[in-house]
Amino acid sequence: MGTDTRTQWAGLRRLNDLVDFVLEIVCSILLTVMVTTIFVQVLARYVFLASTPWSEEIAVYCFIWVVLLGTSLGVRSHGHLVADVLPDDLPASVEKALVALSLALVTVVALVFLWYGADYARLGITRLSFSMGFPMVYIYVGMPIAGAAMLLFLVERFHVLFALRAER
Amino acid sequence: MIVTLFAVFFGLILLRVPVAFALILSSLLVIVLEGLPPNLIALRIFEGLTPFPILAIPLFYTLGLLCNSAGFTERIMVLARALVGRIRAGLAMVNIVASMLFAGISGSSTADTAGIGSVLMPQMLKAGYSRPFTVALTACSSTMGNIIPPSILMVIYGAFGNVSIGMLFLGGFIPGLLLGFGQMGLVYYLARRYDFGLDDTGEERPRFWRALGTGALPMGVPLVIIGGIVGGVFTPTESAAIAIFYVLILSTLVYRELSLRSLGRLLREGGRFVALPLIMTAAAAVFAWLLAYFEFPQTMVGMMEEFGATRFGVLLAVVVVFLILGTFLDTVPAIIMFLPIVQALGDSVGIHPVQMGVVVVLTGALGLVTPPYGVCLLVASKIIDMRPRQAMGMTLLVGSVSLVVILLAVFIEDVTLMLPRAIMPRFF
Repeated sequence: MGTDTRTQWAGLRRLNDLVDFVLEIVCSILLTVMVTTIFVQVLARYVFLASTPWSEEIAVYCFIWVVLLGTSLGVRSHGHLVADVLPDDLPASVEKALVALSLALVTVVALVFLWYGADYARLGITRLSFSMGFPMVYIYVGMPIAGAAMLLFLVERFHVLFALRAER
Repeated sequence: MIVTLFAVFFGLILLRVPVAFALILSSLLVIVLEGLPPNLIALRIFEGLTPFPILAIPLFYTLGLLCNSAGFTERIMVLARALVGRIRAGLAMVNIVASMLFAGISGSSTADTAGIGSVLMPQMLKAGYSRPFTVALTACSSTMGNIIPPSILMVIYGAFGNVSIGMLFLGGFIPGLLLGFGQMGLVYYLARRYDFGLDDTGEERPRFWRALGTGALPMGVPLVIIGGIVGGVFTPTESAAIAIFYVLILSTLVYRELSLRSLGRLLREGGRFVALPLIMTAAAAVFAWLLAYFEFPQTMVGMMEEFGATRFGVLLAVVVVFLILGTFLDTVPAIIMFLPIVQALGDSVGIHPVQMGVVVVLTGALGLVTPPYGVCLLVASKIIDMRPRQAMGMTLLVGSVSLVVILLAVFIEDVTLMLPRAIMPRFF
């Protein structure tokens, strides 16, 4: 049975590696698009004397997606800023309990992103963007997707936390 | 309700819940307790990410990363070395001046710490500077990244507080110079008093005119950014995008130092990490919206009026509060969370919004180095593998220069308002 669960966990890690990789690539592409559209906007205004009402909207929406997806990536890479107020020489058991509690609370956030994010995205089906007029659901759906990715990463982090405890 | 909001938030960050998520959770709890619809959280996060000026933040981060990997930072250091390398404690002076020049290009203090620190700190150690001094100086000088324009903190303040970002940039210029020269003065005094800094790393000092030539093209960036914004040619967000393309073109066509591979790595790193400060920004905007919903700013104004606060009283109170917040909270959420209160208080006693903004950013920038939680201090001590706590005393010593500049900005209006008034009078 032991090897069975172990391969399952390895499977999760591989899946998460893939999700991580894909999100990172998507974020870097969106960032590139964002910079380029803003550059084109200025170019259009001064060189071609044309205003581009769509450019600002594209840039903002790329940006929103980058932030949402990057937020879930940060959960995996321990990237989110933590205020270190407590002393860092706490006993190992207390330390572990704190990490578990904090992970549990982040799980709540992930569920909120997933559930209420989806709830809000439904409102976006009929809401249209200001200048290009496409449905806002394409933007809003980024939040539940980020929530789902966060959940995947959180399961992995819980596993790492408790598997390490079992080995000690 | 406001007590619950703050208590839950501080409780959560005490439990080491990441700041962004602590903001979301505490806001959510209060929203549910109030009987408001919970998807309000989603609405407010999207609203917090929509204003166009905010886009300048990821762009300035990317610009900072780009300068570090495209050989810009090294060229700036050559220029700094030619300018001040001969003075007593030359390497320390170079550290400060390079930060001042870098600050004119990038709006990010951590990019400043990482870029300049990773090159200069090993050299400083080799030349015999103490480890705590090296860390403290590198961290403190890089706070100028957010004071000398452009500045990410000022973009945030301006975007969420409806203050002209161009005016804030101009307002930060004189305090930034004061800070740089103040730090140089302190270092010179310390070097004389404790007899250090007779450094000679054996490296050849660059010839002055050649160094000026080397630095000329990189220094075109601040010209583009500041000139473009102040002249009304483009917005801060646009200026950052233009600067990115300027650096890209220079580094691929003229310097030929940026390979496609390192550009790809940079974009992936950027795509991954720009989100981290920004989700905090959006989450803090939710928190601030709730404070406004409960009319907390007005309550504070009422209390201050009863107390009979004067202009200086309000400014000093704001400084003290942000100094305390800065010790344990990241500067970005701190500014957004308290911005409505700060502005309401400032308006009630007639402080100019630009002066208020610059004072808040100056104090917030000092929070980037104050232990236990100062990002720049963390980055700097990581470069030479030292515990940040060991540099605490030195950081407070070098940071005292910032405190003096803050007090000058509080008591002398012209320190912050002279330049905006002279250059953009139509907005006064």
